[in-house]
Amino acid sequence: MPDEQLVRSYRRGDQQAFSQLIERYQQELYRFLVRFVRDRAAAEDVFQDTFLQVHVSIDTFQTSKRFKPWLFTIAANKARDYLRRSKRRAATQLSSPVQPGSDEDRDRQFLDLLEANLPLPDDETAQQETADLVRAVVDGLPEHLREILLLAYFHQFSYKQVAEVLHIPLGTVKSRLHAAVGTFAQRWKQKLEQSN
Amino acid sequence: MKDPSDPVGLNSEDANAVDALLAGHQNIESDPSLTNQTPRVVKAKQVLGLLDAYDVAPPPPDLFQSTLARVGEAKQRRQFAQQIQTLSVPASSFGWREAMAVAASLLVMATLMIPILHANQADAQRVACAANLQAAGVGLRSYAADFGTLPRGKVRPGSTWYEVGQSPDEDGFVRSNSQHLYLLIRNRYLSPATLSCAANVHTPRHVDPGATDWASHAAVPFSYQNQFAIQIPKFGQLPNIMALLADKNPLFVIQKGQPFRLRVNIGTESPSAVHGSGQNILSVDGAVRWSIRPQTVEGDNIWTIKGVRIFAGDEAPTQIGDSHLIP
Repeated sequence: MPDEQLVRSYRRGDQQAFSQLIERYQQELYRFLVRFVRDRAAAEDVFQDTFLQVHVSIDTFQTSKRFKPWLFTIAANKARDYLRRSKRRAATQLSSPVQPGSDEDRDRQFLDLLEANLPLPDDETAQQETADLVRAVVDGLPEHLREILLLAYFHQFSYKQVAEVLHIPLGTVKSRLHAAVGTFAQRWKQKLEQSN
Repeated sequence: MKDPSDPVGLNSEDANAVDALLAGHQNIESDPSLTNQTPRVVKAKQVLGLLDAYDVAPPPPDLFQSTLARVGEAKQRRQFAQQIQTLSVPASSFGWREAMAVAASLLVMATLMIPILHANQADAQRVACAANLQAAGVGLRSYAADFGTLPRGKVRPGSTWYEVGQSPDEDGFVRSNSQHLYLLIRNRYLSPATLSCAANVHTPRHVDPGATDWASHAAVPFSYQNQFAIQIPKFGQLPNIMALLADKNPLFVIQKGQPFRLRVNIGTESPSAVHGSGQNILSVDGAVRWSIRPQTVEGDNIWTIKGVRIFAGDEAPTQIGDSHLIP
């Protein structure tokens, strides 16, 4: 049964429909949240918060639209809330605060993947070592770049769907995603050079 | 000077390759836009392929149950609250004669009490609105602590600020001043219920999580400091007495589907549609005061811009500290 049909059923009082939605998305959403907030326990909390919000706002969802982008919009908002609270708790200061919707750096540098001489893991590189390095690089990306990389690559949202989830124009999706890939490649290179 | 860890973009060939790979093109090698770019596509594929190493262990087995339990608790709390409300209304256990007598006396009492109740209700709503404005002040300061400025989206110089209820344009530029204020809700600094005024029945208490603005001018709860100035002052630069939010600017009449127009000059009075003769006004220092005059103690008219007499809807203050609260 399509997600949107389950939403309609839940609105009519079918509790089982809500359980099905949780079950259907628990793997994918949980993985998204772990990578986004970088903490399994926090990801569990945010996951619960997300579905609590789905329950509270279920009447505002337009069943003519797709449920999944709506769910991820809520989850991303909750995850950002968590990250903001945890930043405050840690009393860290942003060296260059990012204004919502204004993250396009006009003077951004550009990377050429072919000329950058990026080292790639060879057969001798331990699989676990590669996984740890990739995790460290992705986890270290700025929040807005990590978020878009997760949606577009790991969760295979189309650019249009990413725009819908993040409420940003299509052009911004592209430029932000290119920045995410470029920054990932640059930092991967730095990380590998440091570790050798 | 650029830090080596600063974000970097991709050149256009790499960007095309990444786009093609992520769009799941079937025949990337034969894509006309990527002709002669095969090595580049292969490289981009290798770089993206690195990400596959980032695996995440499955969720804990009790996540499903604990989520259901949490939602169930929320439902129970709501039901409990509703039951309490129901039980607090006394049940009737007498006949129709008694009921008629009580109804008659209630009618007389109501006739006498309505003006008093009405006045009390208006006072209560004014106080409730002031409390919400005070909470909005906390939200504004939290936002400023994180970003250094008042909430402000992307602004196209010279654009109009009264197209409420629209999404940002294709380049992400906002179309209304209320979209700036709405960032407090979108970024979860305030709930829609808090950023509202009880006396304004048009403001929704719950909104679609995807919304970027209130649906109409009538639904916007407060007038907010004009954020269309070219210069973006730091929050710390703003004078303490400067007005930031108030019930509603009485000078401008804006209705969906109709052109912006300026109401006749109201002189030295400052009425509001929701509270009658005056306005609750929040200033930079977080204080909320009730005023029937549009001037702050320093003589600045909070509804207009210094030196501007005729408004087209694209004006912005040029001086830091000049209050101009608009829809």
